[in-house]
Amino acid sequence: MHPDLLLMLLADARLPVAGHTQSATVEAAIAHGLTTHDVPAYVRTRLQSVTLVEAGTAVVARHAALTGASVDVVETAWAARTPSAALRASSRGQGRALVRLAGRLWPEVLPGLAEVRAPGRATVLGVVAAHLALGPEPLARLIGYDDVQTVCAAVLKLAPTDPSVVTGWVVDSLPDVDRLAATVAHLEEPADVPAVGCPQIEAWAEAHARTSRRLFRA
Amino acid sequence: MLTSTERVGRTRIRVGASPDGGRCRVRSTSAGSDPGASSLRAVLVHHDATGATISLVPEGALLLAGDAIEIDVTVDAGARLHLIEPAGTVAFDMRGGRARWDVRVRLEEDAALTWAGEPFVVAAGADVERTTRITMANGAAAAVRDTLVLGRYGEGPGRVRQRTSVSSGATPWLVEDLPLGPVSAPGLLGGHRVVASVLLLGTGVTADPDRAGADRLDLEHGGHQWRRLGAQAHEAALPDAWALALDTVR
Repeated sequence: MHPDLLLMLLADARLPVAGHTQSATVEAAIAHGLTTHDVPAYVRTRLQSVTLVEAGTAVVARHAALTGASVDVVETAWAARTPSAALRASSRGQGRALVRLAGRLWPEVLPGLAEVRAPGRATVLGVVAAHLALGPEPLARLIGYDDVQTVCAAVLKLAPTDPSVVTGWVVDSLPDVDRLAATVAHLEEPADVPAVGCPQIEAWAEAHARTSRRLFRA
Repeated sequence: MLTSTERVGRTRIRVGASPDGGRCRVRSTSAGSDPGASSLRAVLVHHDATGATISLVPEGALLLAGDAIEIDVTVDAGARLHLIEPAGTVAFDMRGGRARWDVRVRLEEDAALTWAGEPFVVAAGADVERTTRITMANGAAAAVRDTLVLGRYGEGPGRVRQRTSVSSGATPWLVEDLPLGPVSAPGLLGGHRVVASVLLLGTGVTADPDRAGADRLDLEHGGHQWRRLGAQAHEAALPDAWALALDTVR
């Protein structure tokens, strides 16, 4: 199987992992005053902070799965870099959906995750990528690209906007996605996972988890 | 990293439990790499059988280009240390230079630390590496208050790379890297210039007054980080969370 095809499969919003329930916190951001005009900057901020942490975690989890190192230690490193319990819970919800799907498609993936009680999405994607022979750079691009698309697709549901304009934002962010991939692709050690936090996104994510007035789960 | 243009001011504080039921043992030293180096003097404010209160008093103008402040704190098993600061710190315009501020804290078994940090203001043109590393043994507890202000009133933000890590044994509890500057700060802080935080480590709270609860991040391995963003330091203050954290550790 060509790895490009597997990458397309994993990046496809039609993958049954409930991607449509996620807004990458942009719903909370808009509720707190972010305008559609600010979305490209919001995307950039994510790629330099929380999404960088996710991508670094996935790359290191992939390396751990390939070398027989502990995947749980990678998960612990990610959790220490994710101080918001709301963000950890939403990642673990997505991780659970991915584990369920991977268990059907590639059951051999599951033993690699057995030591982790509730793996987050980045950890699961890293272990899946190891099994599918996806390289670290494509894996990091997948995480970055998916994050951008999650924000932009959610914006279309939350604020009336021309879809072609929004797709333009995605295209404009691709060099940033590539930079993110280049930053993390060589990482191997859990301690080296980037730890750039985003206090504003963390605060929004916590507020979103407490509100009942929301379209997206997170 | 020591560079030839750096002036290092090192402060070491070590508090140990009383060996004979009398007052606890307190040792502190302050030393500069050269006579012009600024440093923080550890002034013993209070001292009894259960713990010590020490004020970190700046000696010389702080914080200027080339300053390297190192603060090394060890609290031995069962001992308690309360650190206070007489005033906030301003990192001034460094005109292309840099400074660093390194804090290392080691808490042995059942040790307790409270650190009532005052605002750390990064003036426009300042460039600071600010690192805090805390290691916690079993049963240790800490409450640490911090207020980071980007720019004095009416000016733009300076540059600060603020790294925080807390670990226990081989397990990281909190690892955070905030590269804040004129370009990154608007996104990372949502247009705010003040980040106030209260860390409560090694212990947790069960009941939390509503006003403090909204700002609380619950860390994976127990403990909390209350955090509030604001335009002014008083807006971002966390008095309820700090009172709660102090009560929990005391």
